[in-house]
Amino acid sequence: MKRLGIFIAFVFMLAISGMVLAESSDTDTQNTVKEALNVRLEHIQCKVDFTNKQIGLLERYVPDTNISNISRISANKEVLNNDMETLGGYAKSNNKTAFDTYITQAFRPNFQEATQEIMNAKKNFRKYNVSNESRTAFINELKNLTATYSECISDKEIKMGTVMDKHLQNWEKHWTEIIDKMDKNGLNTTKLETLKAEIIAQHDDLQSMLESRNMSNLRKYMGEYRQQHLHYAAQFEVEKLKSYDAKLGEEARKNNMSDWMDKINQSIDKADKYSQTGYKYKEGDFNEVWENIKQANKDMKNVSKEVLKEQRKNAKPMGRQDMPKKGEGK
Amino acid sequence: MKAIIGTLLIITLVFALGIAMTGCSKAATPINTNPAETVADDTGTEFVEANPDLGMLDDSQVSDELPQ
Repeated sequence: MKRLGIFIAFVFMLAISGMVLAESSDTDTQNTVKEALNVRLEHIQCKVDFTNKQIGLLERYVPDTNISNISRISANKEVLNNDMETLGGYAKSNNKTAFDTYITQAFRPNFQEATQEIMNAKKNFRKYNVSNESRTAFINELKNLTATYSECISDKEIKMGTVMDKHLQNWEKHWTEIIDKMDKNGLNTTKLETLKAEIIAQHDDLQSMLESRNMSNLRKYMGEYRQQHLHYAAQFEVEKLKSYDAKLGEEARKNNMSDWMDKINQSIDKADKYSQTGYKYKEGDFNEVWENIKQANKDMKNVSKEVLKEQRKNAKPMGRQDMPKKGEGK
Repeated sequence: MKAIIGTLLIITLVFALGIAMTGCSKAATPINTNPAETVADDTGTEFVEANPDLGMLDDSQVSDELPQ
C-alpha cells in the first residue's frame, strides 16, 4: 500500500514537471540580458588585464621613472581596477542602464588615456636606454600577452554569440505565442509572421557562424545583428499595436476615449519613426523607442479595460418594465 | 527486464500526458470577438517589460603594437 502511494506521488510529480516544461517562462529574456551583461564584463576584463599586464612589463623593463614617466602610467592600473569593480557591481545587480552609462562616461575615457600612454611609452622605447637584450625579452613577453589576450577575446565573442542565440530563441518562442493568440482572436498577423521569418533567418546565420567558429564573420555581424534584432523587435510591437488599434479603436472612440487613442497613436508613431530597417540606433534612441512601445501597450490595455467597464455598465440587467408584455414578440 | 521497460514506458506516457494537458488547456482558450476583450487578453504586455537590447561588446582599442 505504501509502495503504491510512493508510485502515485512519483507519477504525479512527473506529470507536473511535464506541464512546467511545456509552460514558457517570461523571465527568459531578462536572464539572457543578465548573461550578456556578465559576458560584456568578462570581455572588458580581458582588455583591462592585457593593459595592466603591459603596464607591469613597462614597470619592469623601464625602471627609470624620471625619464619615462612610468609612475604616471602605473596610476592607470588602479583607475581601471576601480572601474572594473564599479562595472562588476552594476552587472551583479543587473543594472544595464548604469553599466552602459558608466562605460561611456567613465571607463572609455580612462581606458583610452591608459592606452595612449602605453602607446607613447612604446613609441619612445629607445629613448629609455633599455638594452637590446631587455628590449627582445620585453617583445617576447608582449607577444605572449597578446596571444593570451586574443584567446580571451575570442572566447568572450563566442560566449556573446551563444547568449544572442539563446536570446533569439526566446524571442521566437514569445512571438509564436503572441501570433497564435492574436490569430485565435481574429487579428491580422501577416506582418508579424513576416518579421518572425526574418528573425529566424537571422538566427540561422548566427548559428552557422557559431558552429563553424567563423570569428571574423561573427565579429563583423554581431553588431549588425543587434541592430537588426532591435528593429525587428520594435517593428513587431508597432505592428501588434496597430493591429490592436484597428480592432479596438472604433469601440474606444464610441465610448468617448478618442483622446486616449490619440495618445496611443502618438506613442506608436514615435516608436515607428526609429524602427525602420537600416536606421542605425544612436545612444539612447532604442530606449526611447522601447519606452514609447511600453507606454502604448500599457495605455492600450487600460483602454480595453475601460471599454469593458463601459460595456458592462451599458448592458444593465432587464428590469420588470423592460420585460416583453404578454402577447408581444410573437 | 520487462519491469524496467514497463516502468520507463509509464514514465514516458505520464510525462507526455503532462505536456499534452498543457497544450490542450491552451488550445481550449475561447475566441474573443469583443475587441476590448481581445486586447485585454494580450499575452505580450509582460513580455514588453523586458527590453530586448542585449548591449554590445565594448569596442575600445587596446595598445598591441610592439615597441620601436
